Amino acid sequence: MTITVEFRKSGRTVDWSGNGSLLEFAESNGLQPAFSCREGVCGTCKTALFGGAVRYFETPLDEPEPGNVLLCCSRPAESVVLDL
Amino acid sequence: MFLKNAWYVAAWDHEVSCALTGTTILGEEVVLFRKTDGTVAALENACPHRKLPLSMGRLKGDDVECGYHGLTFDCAGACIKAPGAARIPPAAKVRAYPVEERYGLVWIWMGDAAKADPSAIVPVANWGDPAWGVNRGESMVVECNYLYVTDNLLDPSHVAWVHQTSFGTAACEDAPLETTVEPTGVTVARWMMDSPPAPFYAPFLPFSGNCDRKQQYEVRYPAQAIIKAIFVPAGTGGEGRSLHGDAFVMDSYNFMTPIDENRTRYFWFQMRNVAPADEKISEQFAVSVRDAFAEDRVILQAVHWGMANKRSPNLDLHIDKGPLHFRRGIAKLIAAEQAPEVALVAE
Repeated sequence: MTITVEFRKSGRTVDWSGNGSLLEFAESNGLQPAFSCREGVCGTCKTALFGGAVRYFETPLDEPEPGNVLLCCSRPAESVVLDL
Repeated sequence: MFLKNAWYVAAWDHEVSCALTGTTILGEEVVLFRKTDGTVAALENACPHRKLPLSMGRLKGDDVECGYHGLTFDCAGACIKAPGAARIPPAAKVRAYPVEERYGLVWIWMGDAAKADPSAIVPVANWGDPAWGVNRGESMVVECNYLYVTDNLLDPSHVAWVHQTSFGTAACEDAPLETTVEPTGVTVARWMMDSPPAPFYAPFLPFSGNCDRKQQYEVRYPAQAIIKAIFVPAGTGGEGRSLHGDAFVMDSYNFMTPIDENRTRYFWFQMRNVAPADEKISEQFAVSVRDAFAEDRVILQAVHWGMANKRSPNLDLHIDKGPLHFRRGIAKLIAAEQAPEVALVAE
């Protein structure tokens, strides 16, 4: 089953084809999310998740509040809708 | 905020004699002295009468006499003499801290004395082994919060900029780090392959040419760093491989004792697997390490000032992963330690 990533603010939906992070995937699609550490510790890339779920391949230093994700250390577990 | 139920280094053994020596640890005033049997005692450094530091009084055998009115305390902190008083007031006592001597250092337990377990003092591998030499260390006071020192000791990348003439090489700039978070602390490590040895180590390596180098920085709670440096001939290093016969290994022990929130006393020594009995080499290392740590001191003091007086937000970078995990870990331990007291107050 195809996993899709919807960048809601940008009005685009793309098939997930990355093997890196959601941050890298967004960047490769021409978006410029805020970031600093890219290691799950600073929280700068925290983004609202409107739908779906992610899997963290790196445990964040602080778990983001429900409804938010850290883009730098996660991948979609199913189709996701992001506030990007 | 400090972790109290922990061993901290109070002093080098040679710094404690039969003279009363006042010091400040975790914001608490402590007086250290050596008893007639040679062991060290540590008491709260304030007479319960008018809080004159007992270090301004006199040592009478194993007892401390206050320099104001002669209240006298034994080394368990009990008042055994209150001149002129019909009876010794029950509240006339000072706190006594558990103390241990190990590795040439005097260790003090700052928390609940009933929980003081000497086996919890950080182990020093190869101590007493004649095949290993000891670079006798020193101590210095750094005008910064101790967590800036633990940050620094979980950050091998700074050596490329702060220690260009000693520990650092260009290879230190970019090699990726592996971070391990455990209940006892945090470790960051990396191998840097096939590069020229750093200037500090080059004269001591038992082989020539390029090296594979491992940096392993472990900081244990509350603030004790064990930094392992391994140099092997290029092409023979890497995780999981047994050490080459010519491997140079130096284990650096770094013990931070917060004086208060803004000052840290930093104790250190190193263990090395080459020329164990060579006093000249021990001295050379001691001088080089002192010079390198003075470089850290300048930076850390300015960082503390800069962070305390910042006018714009600061950033966390990828290199802060180990340091931030450590800060989170120690904060949790401190919160857990303080939680029961909060509960009691709430009752």
